[in-house]
Amino acid sequence: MAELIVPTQIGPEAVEFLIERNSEPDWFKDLRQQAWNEFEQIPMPTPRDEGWRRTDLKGFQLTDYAPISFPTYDGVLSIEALPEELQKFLHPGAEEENVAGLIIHHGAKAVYRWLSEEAERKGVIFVDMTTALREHAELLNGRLHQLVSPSENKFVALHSALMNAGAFVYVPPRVRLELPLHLFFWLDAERSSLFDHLLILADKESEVVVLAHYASPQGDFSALSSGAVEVFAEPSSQVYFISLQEWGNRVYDFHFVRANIRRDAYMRWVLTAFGGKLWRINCHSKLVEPGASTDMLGMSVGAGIQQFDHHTFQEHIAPQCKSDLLFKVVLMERASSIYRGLIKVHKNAQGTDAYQANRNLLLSPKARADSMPLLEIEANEVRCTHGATIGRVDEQQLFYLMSRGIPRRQAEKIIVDGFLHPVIDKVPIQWFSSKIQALLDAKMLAEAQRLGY
Amino acid sequence: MTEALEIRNLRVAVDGREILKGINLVVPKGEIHALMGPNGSGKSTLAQTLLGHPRYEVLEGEVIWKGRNILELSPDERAKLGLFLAFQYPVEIPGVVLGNFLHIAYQAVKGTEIPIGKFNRMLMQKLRLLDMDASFISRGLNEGFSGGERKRCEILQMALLEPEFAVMDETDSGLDIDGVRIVASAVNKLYEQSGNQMGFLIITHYSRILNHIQPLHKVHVMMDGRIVLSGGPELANELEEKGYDWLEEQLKAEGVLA
Repeated sequence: MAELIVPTQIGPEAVEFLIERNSEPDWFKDLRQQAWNEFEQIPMPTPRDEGWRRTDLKGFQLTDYAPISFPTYDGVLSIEALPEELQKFLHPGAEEENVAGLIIHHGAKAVYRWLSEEAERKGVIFVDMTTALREHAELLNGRLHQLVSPSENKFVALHSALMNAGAFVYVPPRVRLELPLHLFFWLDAERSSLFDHLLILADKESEVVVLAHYASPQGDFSALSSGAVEVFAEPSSQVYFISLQEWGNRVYDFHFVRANIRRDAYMRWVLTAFGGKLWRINCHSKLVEPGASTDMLGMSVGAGIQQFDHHTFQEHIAPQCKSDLLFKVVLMERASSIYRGLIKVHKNAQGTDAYQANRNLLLSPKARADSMPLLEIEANEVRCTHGATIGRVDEQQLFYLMSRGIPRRQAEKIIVDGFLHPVIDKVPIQWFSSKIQALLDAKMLAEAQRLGY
Repeated sequence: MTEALEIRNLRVAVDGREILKGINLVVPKGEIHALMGPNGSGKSTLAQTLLGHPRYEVLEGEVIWKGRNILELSPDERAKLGLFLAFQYPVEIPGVVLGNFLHIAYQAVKGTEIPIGKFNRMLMQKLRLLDMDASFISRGLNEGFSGGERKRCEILQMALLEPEFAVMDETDSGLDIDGVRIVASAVNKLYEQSGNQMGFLIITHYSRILNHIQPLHKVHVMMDGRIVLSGGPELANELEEKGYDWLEEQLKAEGVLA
């Protein structure tokens, strides 16, 4: 085969390149082509479009980004062989004691892939998406892009056409993994793109924790990311999806995560974000059969001129389902946040129990938050409550802590930690929640230093 | 000269309205004083001002402690100088575990680091001293605490931080007689443990807590933002018997109050 030329622009050649390079199955080629057509037809969202009114896309140009990037080395067989700057993002200590599986992407290349013997023996599949399309097409066909459809949004269409990374998780019936499957994405090519797709199929009565972790060089690093997660939670399964986003501060990220939750299954999202110029997260739990339940947690910590744009959807299709949502936002400097959350209860979904809360804590006078809770209820026997708050650090609380000898900055930090505790507390993996806490500590310290404390 | 907390001509306003209209008060170290007075006389304003609540605007005056005018210091700096305020209404700080908070506060006040294990052993001793349950410290700070629990939590902090001077803002209010006894006995113990060196300003509306404080050196009465009367412990009982109205009328007749 002739050497393929890596395209430098987002365009139809990039779609061709990906199809050729990965020798993808026909049905998937078609999917990419259709998605590209959708992308070309859907206009770029503007502030006039519903759901985009407050999103700041000024200065965002698709032509600024290359569709794909690769590292200069091939895959490695051990973590130690990876570039040193990646090491600090991974679990501490021995691999087999902390993760059941690990896939590391450097740009669009899956440079490391590991699955514990135990998980493999139990029939767990955890492979990068390119391999999955080659080896597990029968499990992917009919599921891939079924939940996150290219036609719904310009960025999903782009993501689907140019998908260049990601993984497939399959957990067989009654298999419970105690340790998490960890996906780590490292993007270090300036002005490149990551379009990662994760498909999780948790079979009946299975249990799995998946960690998705996004990082790049810090500072003014610029890139485009548009990722999607599709979760199929089969009856009585339990799926925990925990994400951590720590991009450099000029990255635009449009993320779509969605779960189809069947009878008595449970889905927990914990979506944490620290980086990027824009983090736009779209999180949707579909409760499709009785007894399904979901916890949806989010935590965004912004500074500078970062914008965090949260769109959530608790969709109660079947009766006797439960959804509980809590999105917490802390903003410093001139950072801003948008929250728009819908609870929809379909006509048949009697006995629905839905709760939604968005809480914003503003640490500077120039930070701004908007919150729009929406309810659409077609059934009559339901319990739905929602609440939104936007506030500053409470002077009484600050005074109380300071009167105990604690300096103002530290007191503020204690209040912020307490504020975010209910979200971090829902991360079931200790070493991963420590990473989240450490990022919070570092970000608050940087802000304190900027202010000269 | 013995060390003292010395309040000189202190005038304080809240939201532009003058509440304290020239307070002069000296509480030497090693003495326990009570500050009594009817509701709205400015007792709590004084307590909050002594620790530096930002809402209280000092118009005039000084508070001298350890040779410094503490009104120029932030609340945390005042705490590090050995001052403590037991709050009348301790706030709830959700998600902050009491034990962790105490560890941070202890290190901040003492200016030293102490390993968590060693700290916890010390904390357990204090809990036993106050007859408190150990499960207390794993709860959120004042989160869902009953009124009585909040007050006991204040006492626990006082016992732990070992201040040289404590202001207690109506710690007895809202407590039943057993609760009042526990608070009073804690004050007596701490005073004793300090080798009779600690200073206390106990703010209260009622004399019942004062009957359990040993020794009680002086009682001051505050009305309309001023100290209008000072005397020995017997003054507390006199006020309890006759009420504040009696005093108010007498002071008006004498031209002390307008």
